[in-house]
Amino acid sequence: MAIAPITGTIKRRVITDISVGIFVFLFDGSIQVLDVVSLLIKSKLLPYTKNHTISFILTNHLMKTNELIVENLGLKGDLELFEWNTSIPLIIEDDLISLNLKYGGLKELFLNDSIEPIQLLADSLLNLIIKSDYKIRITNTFLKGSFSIKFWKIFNNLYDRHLNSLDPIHKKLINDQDETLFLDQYSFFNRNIDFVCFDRGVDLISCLLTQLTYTGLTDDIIGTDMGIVNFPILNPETNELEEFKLSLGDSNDFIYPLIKNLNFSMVGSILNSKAKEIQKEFDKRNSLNDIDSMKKFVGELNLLKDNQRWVQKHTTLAEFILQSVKKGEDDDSSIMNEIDIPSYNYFNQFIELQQDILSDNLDNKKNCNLILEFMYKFEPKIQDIIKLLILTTIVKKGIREFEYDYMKSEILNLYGLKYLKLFIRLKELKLVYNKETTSFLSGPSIIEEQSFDSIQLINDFRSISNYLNLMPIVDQQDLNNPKDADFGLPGFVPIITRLIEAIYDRDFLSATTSLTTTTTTSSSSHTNHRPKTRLRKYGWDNLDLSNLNGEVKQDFLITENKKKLFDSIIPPKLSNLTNRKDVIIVSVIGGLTYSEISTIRFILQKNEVTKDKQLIILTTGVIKSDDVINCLI
Amino acid sequence: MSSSNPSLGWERLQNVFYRSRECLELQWKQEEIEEGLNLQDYKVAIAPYAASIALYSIRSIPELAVNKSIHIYSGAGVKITSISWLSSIGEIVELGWNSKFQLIVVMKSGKFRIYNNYEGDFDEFDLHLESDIIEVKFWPDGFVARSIDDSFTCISNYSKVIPICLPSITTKNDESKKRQIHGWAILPPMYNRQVKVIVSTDISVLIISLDGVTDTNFVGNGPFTSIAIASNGEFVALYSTSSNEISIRTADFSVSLTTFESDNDSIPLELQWCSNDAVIVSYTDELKLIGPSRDSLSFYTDSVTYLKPEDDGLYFLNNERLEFLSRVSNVTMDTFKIGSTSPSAILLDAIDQIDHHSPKANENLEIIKGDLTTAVDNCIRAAAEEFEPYWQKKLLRAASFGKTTIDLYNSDEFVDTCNNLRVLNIIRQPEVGIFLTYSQFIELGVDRLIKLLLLRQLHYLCVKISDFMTLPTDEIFIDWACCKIKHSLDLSDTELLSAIIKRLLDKNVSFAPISQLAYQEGRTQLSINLLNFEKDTSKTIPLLLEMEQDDYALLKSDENMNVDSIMFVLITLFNKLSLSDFFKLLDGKPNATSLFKSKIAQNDIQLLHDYYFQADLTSGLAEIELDKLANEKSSEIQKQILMKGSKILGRSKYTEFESKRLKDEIKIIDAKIKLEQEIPSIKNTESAAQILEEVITQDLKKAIKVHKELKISERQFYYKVAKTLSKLPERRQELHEFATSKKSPIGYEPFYLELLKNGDKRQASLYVNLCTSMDYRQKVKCYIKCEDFKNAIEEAYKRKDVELLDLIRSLTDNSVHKRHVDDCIERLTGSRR
Repeated sequence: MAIAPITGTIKRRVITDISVGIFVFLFDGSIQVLDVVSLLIKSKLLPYTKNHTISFILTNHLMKTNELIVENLGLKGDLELFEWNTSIPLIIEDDLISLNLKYGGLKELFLNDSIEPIQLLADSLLNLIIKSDYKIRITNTFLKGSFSIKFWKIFNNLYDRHLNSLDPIHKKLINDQDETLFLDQYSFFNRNIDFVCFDRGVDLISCLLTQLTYTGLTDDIIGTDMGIVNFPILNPETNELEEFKLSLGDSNDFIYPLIKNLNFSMVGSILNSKAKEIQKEFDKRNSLNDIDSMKKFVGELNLLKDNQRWVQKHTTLAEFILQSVKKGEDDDSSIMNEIDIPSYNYFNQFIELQQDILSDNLDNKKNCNLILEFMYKFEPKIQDIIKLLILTTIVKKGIREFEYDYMKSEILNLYGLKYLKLFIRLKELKLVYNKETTSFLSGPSIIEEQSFDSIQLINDFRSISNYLNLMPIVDQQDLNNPKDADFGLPGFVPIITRLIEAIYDRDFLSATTSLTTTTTTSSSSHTNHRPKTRLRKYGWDNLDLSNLNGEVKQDFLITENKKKLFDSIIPPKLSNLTNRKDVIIVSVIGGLTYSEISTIRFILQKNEVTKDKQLIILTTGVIKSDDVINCLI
Repeated sequence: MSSSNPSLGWERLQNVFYRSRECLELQWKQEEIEEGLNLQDYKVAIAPYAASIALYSIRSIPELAVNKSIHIYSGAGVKITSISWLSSIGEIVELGWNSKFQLIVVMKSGKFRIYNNYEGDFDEFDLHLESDIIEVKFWPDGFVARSIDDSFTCISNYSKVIPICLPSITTKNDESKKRQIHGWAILPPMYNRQVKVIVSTDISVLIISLDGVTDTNFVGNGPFTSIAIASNGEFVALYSTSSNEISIRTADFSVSLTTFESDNDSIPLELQWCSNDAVIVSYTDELKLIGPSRDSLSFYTDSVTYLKPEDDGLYFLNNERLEFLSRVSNVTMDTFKIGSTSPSAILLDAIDQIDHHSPKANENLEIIKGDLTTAVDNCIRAAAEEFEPYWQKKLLRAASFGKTTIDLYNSDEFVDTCNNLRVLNIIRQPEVGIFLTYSQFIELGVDRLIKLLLLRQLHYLCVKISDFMTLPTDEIFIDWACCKIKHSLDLSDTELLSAIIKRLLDKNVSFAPISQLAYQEGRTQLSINLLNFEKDTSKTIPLLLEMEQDDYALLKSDENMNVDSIMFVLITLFNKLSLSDFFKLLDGKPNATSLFKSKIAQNDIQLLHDYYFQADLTSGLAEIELDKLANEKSSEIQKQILMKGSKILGRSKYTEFESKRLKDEIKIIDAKIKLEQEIPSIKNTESAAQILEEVITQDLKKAIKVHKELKISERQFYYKVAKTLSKLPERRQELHEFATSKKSPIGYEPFYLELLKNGDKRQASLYVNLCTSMDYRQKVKCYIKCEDFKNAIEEAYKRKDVELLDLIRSLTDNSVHKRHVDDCIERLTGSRR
């Protein structure tokens, strides 16, 4: 048996094993590779072997197309084609299912405007439903953005096709499930399944900001692949670099669930206290005085050791991150702490700059100057600079032409002409564009008209930010017990998170209005629980989304004959619902970041009503801010 | 006759019973009057389960010689169809059937046909033989043909026809050793076993497999004219005409099981197995059944008999009747045997008692109280075996009566049996004429039964059965529609469409296969109209393409947004159309266009260029140029590409800047070439800033001049100088001179920070005082960071900040500095601490 990657060199290696007679090729089925392989087969295999079997295992889900290409290549009948279904997504964490596409599929979506990632995601949702024995029966949909609308259409096409392919017994089973689901309002409330789907463009801000949760920061700084962190670390004993590997979300890892959603600054103390607790348990061995307690101790020893190992691993990781976060910071900052002097800490200054841009405190000129200054000073990777440019464009609805031209020129000087392509693409996608000089006479400017077919959907950042309270003012921020979902990013609540929150709760809306009048009551209204005993679902009704471009679609998927039953819904009391099996599935087409995921978990946990709802995040990939830029380079 | 006890027809062979039951009376008896049908005059092929019978006349009637027909009858002898057979097609050697109930006709020339339906549609294949075929034997999935030169050729899969030549039994160059073949049989392939042929020659019995010929060295009373292999493939029966003896052996010929001497001297017509435990020999007027011992049973017949073995028994066919010969199962034996006291027999008796209103019915139940479940089960199973509805009903009534008194009896089998028997009784009617036994029905499955009935175009019956058994009816309706189109030559496209839609619209069936057929029948418009009703676009696409509806196919797939469908259309059209026509079609199909770009043109720059060019996409064209630039080493060509790119981008006002920037790059390249001669390390730089850095490292004065050529701003230049020179200790003096020669446009914090970063605290401290944007407290802190306590103290003293001075004092261990602080404080406060 010879296993070799399909390259030029395979030709020789296969031929030496020609006696085998069985050839299996595993590849993605792209036209280029098909060409190469078919050439190889025609020239090197077919003439020399008679009793051979040749098979292709292809991973691109395009069986009809593959058959056609093979036929066109004149190989039909000489080989057999098999499909390897790779749309079965990976479970990264309990509630996180990812297709793990490169850059979350953003390259295909943004640059090619391709439906391929959307179809893959629709495929995997269908897979999920089939695997659940059709228990996942989506009852409510909330879609925002054209990709999401497309997604739903594609999914429905696939689902219809699947239903048609089923035998009547299964069809009946599905029908019966529908019947019982909508039997009465109680059966429904226990099992309703909300499907929320966003385009990445709904919120390009939160995926560009520096992530501050434990996992998010890990991904930003070191990078994760399918939840696995991998980096070299110096072994103090041998003084050699060793590979450090940690799988985040390992089911045995008791500490990770405690810290994964936390702001990184809180992680240290938890790790410390857990380490102490474990040490205390270990210390018990000195005070063991009878056989029973000794037995008990020995019995727990292994678990204790395991737990200690996990704490150590996370401590190593946290220290590594802390080092790179602190790089350039004054080590003796204890003295004269109240006085700020120029420093070389990249991490903090980058965050500060993001916050300054977002809060829109800077005028156009200052904004650009600060970005340039930042660039001159640190000469960071170009991705970070582009992120700031995109943020500025969103917040300020463009950059003034002469300033943008100057910045482009300076950026290209520093990083080289090869990035000119990037700027063309940024302009094409309207991620960064020139601000039209507003004259008194002109009506709606050209930019505003154009922005409708941009992949970036925020139309008026300042309004949406105020309306959805994206940058809540919290007095006495307690990151251990955050009041709002702004802990994952520099003082910013992702729009996606707010839109999910709005389906079940509208408290945050009142928070903004009360804030302007009486700042003091805003915090107390949070703690003072309204008698929220009824399971109410607001949906997106009466939610002003006019400042976000892109189609909105909200649907209640109920069989026609049952509609009457739900004409007037009286939400049941929460206490009446036991054995809840309701689910919310959140999809972001183009992927989302760990920090965003943490905030989604947070707002669902915070709400009495959604606390017991199961969350499933199904996405094309877990991305980080660099991916958003890299997919354009 | 129906109410007489079934056991009256049983024949005993040692301790088991056999019975022969009439299945169907053959209707062709009536034809006898006209044509004089006598099976003797025909080649007869009985399909599996005797579902159909094919006849082909072998009488040499001169007037019929030119144009004969193959007649296909149902199991009840009702003619289904006739296939006319011109002698010019070829001489038929043998007829056979496959497991899909398709007729196989093998011709002498080595050609053979598979008839897909009963309308004469066939596929023809050729075995490519050197000599004529003289004999063919079939098994459900294939056949073996014997040629006149005694070579055997095998077809083992009708869906993938590949003729396999079996090894020859004679060595070619030794004619003298040629063996004469007397009889042969096929051991069909099974699981991992390949096909084998058992051949009786004048010397011994040989086994031919793909690997070669094995001589079993079994001679026995051979040679054997008839050989039969049991359906499990483990036993073989051989008939020797010379001695009238039947030998039964294991299939590997190692063990002899029994030898039976026949008392009938006539030449046997056929030798077959009845199930796996008895052998049947047919003579012209007798069927002899031979059991494992030397006993035998005889069934006498009036005419020639043809045999068709099945797993559970054997059909035999003569001029009058189709009968089924089988062993009586133990359950049936227990239930019906005269004087049986088995639970099921007693339960059956209870029904008689009830019918006579006798109280003994309950007594019966008392007797079998402990075995009631067995009694019920056995009654159900016995009912399944009986052909007579009278006994089926009676047994099921008994079962139903018995099970009411059992707690928690699982009635699934009862219900299934009732349902299945209902279907069986219907298809056993002479109008349908498919006489399946219960176990054959289970083996065949309802879905295959439906397919069989569809071949006979019994659509209404199919729908009824499917509804009754809750099976999908899609296939039936599709088949119906196809037949409708085929047979309605007098109807117009519109009439046909409305007729079909009326029936099928609410049935949720796939219209693609119907459309396909309509197209094949030449009704293109009907075909297109039908396709509009197809919900699954992926099925419509290939058809639309076949009908040359290119634009519509692409539009449809684009709307449906299925990547596979779109790609299928794209590749088909790409290969078929000219590039310009292809691009024209792409217009207005966004999903198809994006897939074309990302999947087909991605690695074909010329194609991509052609696309961008016709679509006039300046950015795309520019990207192609820029990609070329990245791989280009020669600066002359680089400049040409830059010019071209600049021109392309200049066409749009949105890319004015980019266009200009490309032009500027030419100047940078020129400058770079010039500088390279003095500073070779510039060769590897990728950006203007890197060039500048190299120049700064070499010669600051030159850099001051060059940075303007490179279009680098003053501020970026100052930062670059600070960054570059602060790394080089010997150049820090020069840096200071540069920084202070005129006012720095970037302030002095960067100098301070860069030097501090490089660890030169002394030099860093030189810049603190120049940082005008800092207040004195910040400056003090900076000085302290540079460990420049003297200046820190001075600064604090200047501002008369005693508190700060105190703080500084606490931070140093140096007594000189401490004293200095004390002095300052004394001067400010007048008191010494």
